[in-house]
Amino acid sequence: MSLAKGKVLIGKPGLDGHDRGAKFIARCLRDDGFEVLYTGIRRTPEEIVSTAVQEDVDIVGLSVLSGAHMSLFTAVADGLRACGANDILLVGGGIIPDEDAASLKAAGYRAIFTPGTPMEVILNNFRELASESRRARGLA
Amino acid sequence: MRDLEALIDGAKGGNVRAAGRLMTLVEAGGTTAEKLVGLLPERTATQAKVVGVTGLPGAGKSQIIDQLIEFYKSRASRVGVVAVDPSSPIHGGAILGDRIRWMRHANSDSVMIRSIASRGGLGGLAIAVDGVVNVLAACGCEIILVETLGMGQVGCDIAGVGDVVVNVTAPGLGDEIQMMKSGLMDAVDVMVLNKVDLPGYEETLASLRYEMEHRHLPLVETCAVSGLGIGELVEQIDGVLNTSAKACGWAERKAWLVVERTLALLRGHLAERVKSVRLDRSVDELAHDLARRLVGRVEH
Repeated sequence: MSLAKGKVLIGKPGLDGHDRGAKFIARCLRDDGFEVLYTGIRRTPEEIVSTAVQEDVDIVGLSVLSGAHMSLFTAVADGLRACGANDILLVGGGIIPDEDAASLKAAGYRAIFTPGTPMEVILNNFRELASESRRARGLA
Repeated sequence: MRDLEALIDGAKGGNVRAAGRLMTLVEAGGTTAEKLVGLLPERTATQAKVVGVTGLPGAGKSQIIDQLIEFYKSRASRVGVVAVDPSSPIHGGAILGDRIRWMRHANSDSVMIRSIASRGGLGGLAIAVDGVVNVLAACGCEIILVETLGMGQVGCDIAGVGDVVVNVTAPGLGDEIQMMKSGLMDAVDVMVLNKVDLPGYEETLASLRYEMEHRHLPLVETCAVSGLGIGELVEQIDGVLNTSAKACGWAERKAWLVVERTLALLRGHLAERVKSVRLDRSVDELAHDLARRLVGRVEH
């Protein structure tokens, strides 16, 4: 029995109903040995924040393909901060222009994945962030 | 130690972040989890009642729990939920997929939900479930719903944890002979036939009704998606909680729990020890030898 690499929430905030990508990431993370929660589509930032805090995940990964990423991603980051959960690490994915990705990184997002990113790159990011989070919390 | 006490105080005071952290520490096991056992109140010293929900994959356990959360919100100041989903024995990964059915409760301050992976637990739960339940109880959850892995004939861990055990089935999952079999069914207090809107319902009901009459167990028909039958299910759960008409009493359960928990803890130690054993004989020879040496050490 191997130990899980970390606990991840994959969330779909907002009205965008395209979740094939989010579910694909969830499956790949599962196969890489992560414990993965998937929120389903059309969640509010508040629902994602309260779920992440109750579940005490290491990483929250958000997917938005509708163009509403700036307001939704920022709302989740603000919500986690308001709960004192600054140490839950954030990543995002979607159709996100470079300048928005730069602003989101400044707002605390550790990585932004755009279409065409190889899965191995995404998994490596999750692995590194999970072990960083677990070390910081004395769990690794 | 002082950090742990601060977390416990925070959790008791309603800080969800602190409660979430405590549950992570319980799940992680090891010396911190051991310290927490001594610091958290024993569940029997709290108001909490634990309702276990078990049954086959896809029978509708999560949907039943969704309706029970909605009901108990009106009765309890706080409702806790623990949902267990399977870990891969190969890579350790898991999809924690129960909670997606409960998202309508995500913003409710009176509902605290925790999903955990089975991490090698063999009896339908994870080793940490009891500890996670204790954290929720310490947080003031008066009702705690525990959902097992999808279970059929074996895996009775839930009987140790739950003050009442509900078993959910659905039409077409087995005939009279299946219902007659021993195992999980012997640990059940209330039987639920869910999805009564599906074809084949009458036949399943007939064979189930006969078996439940023989076992003197209540049978409730539900359609969890519409809420049909949930009122009656709550009455039957209350019946067990109020009369302690449980399949087995607390003393019996406690003795059994102690054995199970000890074995679960031993598994971890043994797995470590086996790493240094030379695998130069057959599996049976090695196992017998290891067991004999361990027991010998305990007895002297």
